[in-house]
Amino acid sequence: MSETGTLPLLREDDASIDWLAARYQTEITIAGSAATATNILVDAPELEALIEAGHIEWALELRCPKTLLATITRSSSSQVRCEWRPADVDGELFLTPGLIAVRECMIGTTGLNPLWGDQQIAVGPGRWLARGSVLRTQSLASSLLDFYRKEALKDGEMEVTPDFTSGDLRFKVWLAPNYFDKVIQSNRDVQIAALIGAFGRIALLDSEETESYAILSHIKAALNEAGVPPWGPGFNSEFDPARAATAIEAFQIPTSAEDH
Amino acid sequence: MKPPTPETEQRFSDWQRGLTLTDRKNQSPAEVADRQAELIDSVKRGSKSFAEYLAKALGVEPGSSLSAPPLPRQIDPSEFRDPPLQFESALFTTWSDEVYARAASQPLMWTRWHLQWIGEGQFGERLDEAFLGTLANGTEEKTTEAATRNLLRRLGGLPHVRGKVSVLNDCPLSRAWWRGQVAWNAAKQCEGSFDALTAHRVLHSSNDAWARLVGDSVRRITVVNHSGLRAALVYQYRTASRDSKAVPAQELQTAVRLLARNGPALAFGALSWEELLDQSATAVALARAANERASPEEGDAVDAVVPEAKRDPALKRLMRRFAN
Repeated sequence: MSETGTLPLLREDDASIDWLAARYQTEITIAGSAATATNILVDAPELEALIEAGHIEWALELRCPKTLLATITRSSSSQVRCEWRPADVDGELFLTPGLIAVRECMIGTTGLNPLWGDQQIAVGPGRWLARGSVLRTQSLASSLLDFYRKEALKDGEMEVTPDFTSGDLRFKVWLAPNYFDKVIQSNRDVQIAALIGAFGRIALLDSEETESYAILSHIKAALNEAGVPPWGPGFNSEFDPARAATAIEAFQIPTSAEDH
Repeated sequence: MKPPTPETEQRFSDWQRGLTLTDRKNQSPAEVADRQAELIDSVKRGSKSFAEYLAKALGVEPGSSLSAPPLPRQIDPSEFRDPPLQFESALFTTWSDEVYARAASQPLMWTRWHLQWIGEGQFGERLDEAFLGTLANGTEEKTTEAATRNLLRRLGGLPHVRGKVSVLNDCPLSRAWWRGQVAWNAAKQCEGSFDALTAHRVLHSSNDAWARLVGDSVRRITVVNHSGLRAALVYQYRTASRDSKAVPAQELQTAVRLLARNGPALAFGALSWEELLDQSATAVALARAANERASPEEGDAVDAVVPEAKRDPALKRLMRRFAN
């Protein structure tokens, strides 16, 4: 069994006393059912050499306590993208980026606090060597939509209306009673249809208004990252609500490998 | 699957809160007792009466489809209160294409599905034995509060009292699905060491062990949710069954908590199957030794094992091996 004893850990928040000059920064963006961690290492030649040699890799850990889910995605690239199926998560998600050892290796002590001595340190697989703060989140679509039943709607109809009462922007999605009862627990496509409707409404909002809501800043950043034109300012003929919504929450065709 | 809306969730929560005496300052015990009596009366009058009561309470229109997954067959009360392994396994297999974790984590969803099954007569007419009575023999609880809580827990969970673990553990059918799901995921990760039915048998062997495993996993030790690590724990108890020797609940909990202590340093999801087996075997051995030595007055065996390890050479070796 490999060691799980104390190892030098480079933290994002500069709280590490293990490393003298090394710094670690990370940023996580979430778009739909995926998160991307962009990691930056500064003045950490020992760690960079181990990455280069393939001994350690960037990682992004996802946990969803409510559905007993925990997964880890690894990459030799400093940008790690982790995806999940919406049907597998509920409530809060916790994302932890960092660097982990993927095989036994030795780490040099030149950049470490002298307390670590001058002997190389043995590192076993799976050990965290750098770790960012845990990001606690919900998906953008979940943050934007609330579903309601509306008696006045005819069979199969839907309405989407903005709601500002929470202090941030949300959209109320109204469904005909028979449809509401049927799709409430089974249909992701309805959520995406509602998101397209919500994006159509965003384009109609006043530009100043849209700038003031945090949720819209996050969505705009996610669209920019995906290379999809966002709304406004003013009328923007390139903004396509369907394209934008499906960049955030893509339609999914289940494969036999995903079924269980 | 889309989770319940805030509106329906609120209605469900209000209904459950109005039926359980949890806040004496803001609740009139007499009014709660009246509501409990009305509920219990509807249960005793049979499936039609109870389905009508439940539909009204949840705001479900008569005749609405609730899209409940089909039950393989009718369930009698004792089978419902504690489903046998073969039945649990059949349930998960039957539902495997229709139920996903997101929906299965919602007490409201299970309650709505129970409403449909009750309306279809799937539980027969002895609903009081199934839902109100004790687990052991179905005899009705002495107080309406206890009977009501039994019923709410068994329909899908009582989250405002029991938290997120309620849907994983308190409702026999949701528990069956979750055990099947954990078993299925574990079998995928074990490199052919066991199959899903074996994993399900292990998890089914002790309701107490299952409750402790998921209780810790959902509330405080989310790091052990890596399915590879759970598979390795299942492997340590691969011969356990209800007919022979069940998984020792306290020992499993101690092992999980010991593993969690390594969580901040170790990414379990990045370990090989051999590494996971090594970690879990050491944790179980340490937990077994700790539980044998710790007296009940000492409380948590995880806390007891550290000072104990200083005195006991065998424990000390394990401890060093585990977390040097």
